[in-house]
Amino acid sequence: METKKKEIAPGRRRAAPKKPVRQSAGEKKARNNLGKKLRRQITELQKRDEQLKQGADREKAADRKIEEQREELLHVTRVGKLAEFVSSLAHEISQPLTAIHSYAQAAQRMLADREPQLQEILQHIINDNQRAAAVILRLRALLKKSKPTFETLDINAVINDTISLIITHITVRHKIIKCELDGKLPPIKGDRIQLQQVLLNLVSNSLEAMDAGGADSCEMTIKSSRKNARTILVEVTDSGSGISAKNMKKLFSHFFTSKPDGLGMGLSISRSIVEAHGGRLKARNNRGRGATFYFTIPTNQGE
Amino acid sequence: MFSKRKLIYILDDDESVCCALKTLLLTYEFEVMTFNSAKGFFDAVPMDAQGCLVLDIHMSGSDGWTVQKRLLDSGSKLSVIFISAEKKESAADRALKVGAVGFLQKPFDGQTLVDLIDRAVKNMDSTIKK
Repeated sequence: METKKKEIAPGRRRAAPKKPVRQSAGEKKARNNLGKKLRRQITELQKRDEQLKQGADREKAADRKIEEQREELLHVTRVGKLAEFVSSLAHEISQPLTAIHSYAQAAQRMLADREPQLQEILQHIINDNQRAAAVILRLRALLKKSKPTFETLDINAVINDTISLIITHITVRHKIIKCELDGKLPPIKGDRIQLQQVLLNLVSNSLEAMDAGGADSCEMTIKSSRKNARTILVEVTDSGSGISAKNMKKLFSHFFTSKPDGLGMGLSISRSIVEAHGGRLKARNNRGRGATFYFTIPTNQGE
Repeated sequence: MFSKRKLIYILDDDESVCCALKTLLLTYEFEVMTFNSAKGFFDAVPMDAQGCLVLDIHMSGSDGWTVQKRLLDSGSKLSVIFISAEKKESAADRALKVGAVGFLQKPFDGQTLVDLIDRAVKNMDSTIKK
């Protein structure tokens, strides 16, 4: 190594002489040899440089992967914490609901056939109590860590099913929903109900964003397309009020909501559903107005 | 004078649940005793007591399962109805496996509880007659 370095340095200096110098045959041969050596070394160096670059890329990719895994872990922890929290909340609320229900029924029995108006009020108390209990049941069902039941699905069929669920809701609000579905999409593996839940959440968010956006924002689009050979892309685009930079960061956090009566769970649950399907759910503001929520989902090919 | 009314014990660490269930069961002419802790229950109720125990599963200290095990181990004749505010599909199965008359998810309808109690009491009567 030492000798090579010494050879390169003077060689370079000699390679660009200002004045032509007369050279002996021996000197010429030595120069040629030196040139060959230099070229070899340059190629070698370029190869090493390339290898180093590739190594750096690999390292970067590994870093990204670690970062993704860390995020995933954090997310799983958050979902777990949320489920825990909801479970204890449900327990705490069920206790007084049980008491209220029993008291009201006891009062009804005590009144027997007297005081029909009071009886009616007691019945209202019981009914509303049951309503509250049903909300808790739904909340629990929503967060239940049930494993999704994967079946082979046509994502366009899932989208159409979802639209038929919500179309009345859309038309009474004087909004328009457009579909741009790619008819040649390969099937996916997924849980029909869970994916409908995600789509419903995105569509109803869009509707609310358009309500906030004023009278002239009334059109939204659902689009399905092929992102690449193994991935399908679903986009829900609205012409609503868009997402502020401040809200964009917290959009998918649990309990974050920009709506006065929101729970702040729709998007975080949607994201964990999409991720359980091996996809990603993200949001961006449109160039014009409104926002687009989009998720990817792997195709069922090669499995 | 010996009371002919059936005796129902309620063991739930939530005071308002105890009180409300008692109020309701009194309208059905049951005799009712309530307890907020397993200790209070075992201190007051003799092991040979008869009747029906409405037992909450999720309690601080000894939970419902522990109480039921202790009752079984001591040869108690009490019929047990489990109640719980926690939603676990397995709880109902487990309740029946450990010999309970039934399991009710809170909040439940009063009549459902009374029907279960009636069934438990009938079972008891028929065993005694045998």
